[in-house]
Formats: sequence, C-alpha cells, structure tokens
Amino acid sequence: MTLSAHDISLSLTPERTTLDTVSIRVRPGEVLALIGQNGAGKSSLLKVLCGEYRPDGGEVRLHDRSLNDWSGPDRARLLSVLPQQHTLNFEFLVEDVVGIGRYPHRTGRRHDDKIVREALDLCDLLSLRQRGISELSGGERQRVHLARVLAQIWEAQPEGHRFLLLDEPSTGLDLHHQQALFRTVRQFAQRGVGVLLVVHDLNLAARYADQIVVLDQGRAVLSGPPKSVLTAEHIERHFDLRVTVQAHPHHDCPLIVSH
Amino acid sequence: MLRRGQQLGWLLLPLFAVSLLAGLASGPVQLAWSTLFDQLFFPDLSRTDGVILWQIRMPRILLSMIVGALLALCGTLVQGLFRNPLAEPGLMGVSSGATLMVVIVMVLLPGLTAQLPAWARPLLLPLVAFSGGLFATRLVMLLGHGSAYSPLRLILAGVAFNMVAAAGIGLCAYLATNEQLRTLTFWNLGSFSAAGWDAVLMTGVVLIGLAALSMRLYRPLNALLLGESEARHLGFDVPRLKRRIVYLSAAGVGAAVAFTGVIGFIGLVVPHIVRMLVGPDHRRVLPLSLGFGALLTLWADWIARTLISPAELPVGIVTSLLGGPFFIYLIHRQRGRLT
Repeated sequence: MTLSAHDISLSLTPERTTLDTVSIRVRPGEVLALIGQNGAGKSSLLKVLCGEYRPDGGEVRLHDRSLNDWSGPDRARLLSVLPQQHTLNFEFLVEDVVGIGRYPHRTGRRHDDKIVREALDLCDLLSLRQRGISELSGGERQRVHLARVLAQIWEAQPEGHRFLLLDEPSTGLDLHHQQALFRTVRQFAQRGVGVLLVVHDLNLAARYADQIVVLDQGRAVLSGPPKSVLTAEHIERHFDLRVTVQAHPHHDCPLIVSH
Repeated sequence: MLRRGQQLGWLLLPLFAVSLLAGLASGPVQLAWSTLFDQLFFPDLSRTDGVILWQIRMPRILLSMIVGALLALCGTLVQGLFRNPLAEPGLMGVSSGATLMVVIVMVLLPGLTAQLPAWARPLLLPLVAFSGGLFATRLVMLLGHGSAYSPLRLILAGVAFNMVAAAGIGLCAYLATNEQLRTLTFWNLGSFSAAGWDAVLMTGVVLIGLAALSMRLYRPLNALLLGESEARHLGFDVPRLKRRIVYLSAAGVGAAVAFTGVIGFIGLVVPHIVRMLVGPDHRRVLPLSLGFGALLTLWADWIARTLISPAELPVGIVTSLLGGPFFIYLIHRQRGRLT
C-alpha cells in the first residue's frame, strides 16, 4: 500500500533527459526528502508522481492501481499536492482558501468547517482566518496553502493510505516557521500519511526525513536514511560542494556545515 | 460573507420591483400608475395602453433583463476561466464572430431573407449570429490550443480573430447601402427596440439552461482561481472544465447578441461589482451576477429610451459610456494593488 514510481523516464525537451529510469517508493507514515542540485529533476519527479506530467516510460502506482486509472476525485481524496508557486489574483478569505481543500469530499458543510478550523489551528492561522489573502505576507500565504492541502487529506479514507507531496514548502519562510512547518508535516506523517518533499536545505532534510533520495542529472543515485546518505563524500560528489558532516549536538541526525 | 450575499439577494427584489414598474410606466407615452396596474392585472389589448404595455414594453424590459443576466453570467464564467478580473467574453471572438456573420449575410446575400418562408424570416439573423458566435469561438479554441493549453494563447488567438473580424465588418460596411448601414449600427451598438415575445422566450430558455449548468460549476471555478495545477490536484478535470466554460459562455453571449446586437461592458463590469461586494466565491458571485446584470441592463435600457425620447439611443452606447470610465478606474485600482 504505497505511492510508487517504477522506472520513470521523462524528456521535457527532445535534447535533454529530465528523468532517467527513476524508481521511488513513498511509504505511509514516512517522510521522504528528495534532494539534488537545481535541474536535477526533483520537481519533475514530483509532478510525475501526482500525474501532472505523463512519463515517457515507466508507471506510477497508487496502492494497487496505476495512477491513471484513478478518477480525479478518488485520487484527490488520497493524494494532495502543494506546488511551488501560488498565483491568486482574487481576494479570498483565508478560511475560504482552506475550505477549497474539502471540495473532493462530500462530507457536509458542518464537518468541513470543523476540519478547516483544525487545519488552520495546526498551521497557526486561526487568528488570520477572516483576513483577505492579499493582506498576508508571503510566508503566511504559504502556510494557508499548506493548511489547504492538509485539509484535503485530513481524515483516513477507506480506499487506503493518504499521501502528501510538497514542492519546496519552506521557501520564503523564516527560520521559526520553517521548523514549525516541518514539525507539522512530521506530525501528519505519524497519522499514517506518506510524505514526499522536495527540499534544498540539507539540514532540514537530515533532521526531519526518514528516507532521503538524491537525484543527480535525472537519475536517483542514492537512497536511504539520512545518516547513510548525507556523508561528506556523497555531498561533494553530487552537490559539488565541500562540507564537514558532524553529529547534531541536540538531535540524533547529521549536521552539515559547508566550508 | 455568505449571509451578506443572501442579504444582497433579498435587497435586489424590491429594487427589481420598483425598476420594473418605473420601466413599464415610462416611455414616449407615459402610462399613469392607475392605468399601468389596471393593464397589469386585467390586460386589455383592444386599448392602446394595453398594446403598449404587453406588446412593446413588457417584452422589451424582460429581454433587457434576460440579456443582462446572460452577459453578466458569461462574464463571470470567462473571468474565472482566465483567472483575470479584466477578461470578458468578447475576448474569445463570440461577439465579433456573430456580428461578422450577420453583416456578411446582410450585405453579401441581401436576397436570402426573401427566399425564406414568412415565419422563418425574423429568425434568420438571430440564427446566423448565434452560429457565427459559436463558430468563432471554436476557431479561437483551435488556434489557441497549442501543445500547452494556456489562457494566454487563447487570448492572443482571440485578439487576432477580433482584428480580422473587425476588418471584415469594416469591408462589408464599405460595401453596404444606406439602409443596411443602419441595421449594421444596430448590431454593433446593441438595442432592445426589436424585442418581441419570441426573443424573450428563446433567450429565456437559454438563460435558464445556462444558469442551471453554471451554478453547478461553482466548486471547480473556485478551484480554478487557485491555478490549473491546483484545480487538477483537487480532482477536477481541468481541460474538460475549460472547454465547458468556453462553450457555455459562447452559447450565452451568442444568444444575447443574436437578438440585441453587441452590448459592451455588462459582462466585464457586473462580475466585478459583485466581487467587490461579496468576495470572489463563485457560490455567491454566480447568482448575484445574474441579478445585478439584469438590473443594470434594465437601467441602461431605460436611460437609452428615455434620455432623448421619443427617439432612442442604442443601449450599447449607454453601457459603454458608463462602463468605459469604470473600466479605467478598475485598471487603475489593480495597478495600485500590484505595485
């Protein structure tokens, strides 16, 4: 019962291979971080996993079925996605935006309102819920959309485990809210949700991920728990960066310091 | 906000009642209130008052309301589709396509009407306009449908089509006789003067169908405002949704243009006013657009036919005269927010 990609190949332009036979598996209850340099294919892989890009080769499976065989609403109740950028020209209220996350469900207004409240609470947005979206800072807006995608998969579904895909969710957030966001996502994973996130900050990946997959020029070159993947040697080879890796003074995870 | 939407809805009802009565009473022949109520409850078509009320003013007022509601509804749909509050249905070539077809039939095939049986004659131009509008939209959809199906391509294709259509209309106007030119003005500027019960009936049916179909789209329309990928991630079939919006709005505008010619700015301005009042949620914007569109168009037509009475202005001039400055104000306001 997983979200998995098997031998995915994708060329967005004829000259260049974006993804080259990549296989990846997101397990329920686990946070998987996708790391790699710019242009390594992280966002493309995420878009393949949620069905936005059709791969040239390979297959994405959600539970026991190919992702293409799921109807839109059925898929949306199990799989929610936070894209990298948001453009919203219309002055919605914060709670209205989060309420849109409940559209795939037919659970009734009162129930939906309750879930929207809980999601707002989890993302530390309750005090802003009646505010217009354009009054918010970039970081607050990012949290609103996080609350929306969480509300979309808030409750367990009879069809199987739920999955959450996040494309660079911490961009534009200050340090406090970066940590808060990753803690929220962690908590959510503990409810049996499989999480995949694209992240640039290796220390955030080290601290919050159970599994790390490194993409390099369209290939998945390494995967495993943070301690085995994030070594000085690997980082130099795949990120072109010289670093020192130490034990984190407060947490049981590696700490990466660049030279 | 939802409650405010409902309150506004209730507020529209007395406004409608007053505007309707005022519209029915005033005109080249002023009807006294007593005569008006007499005729309303006990129609007597053997009297001039009765004929004026039931054959001229009632269908005209109903048609203006129906067409206003149609245009505003289509404007809301199209602005939702393009995620741009400055879009309007004319962008996709519906209006210019309809006008072009009418002009071609009128100027290049002047003998066609005479060939038809008598009952079909009044229907010829509306039908031609309607199919012209749909055809233009289909063409713009095909031209704008590249590898990536983006709203920008659609707008560019629409702009290109509108230019070509304007050239075609200009060419036909150059070839037209004096009498044809006058009819041409009617199509270009819009008027409710030709309103009859058949027009009311046909546009009314289109309006009811369209309203029922688009009201069910409020969730996907809201999701689409977040972005196309977001709507997709929420489980909506985005390409199908976009096709539906385009054809629904083309049918609506086509039906309106077919009977009244091109009436500008209602489709642009009304959704805007409604959004300023109740926010962008389509659950409220769609029904309130219907109401405000009907009301504003009723007022515009009232101004058009009473301002220089007994003559009358094309209603399109009134809406454009009021809508143009408002549009500039909107652009100004948007720029203020973007910087």
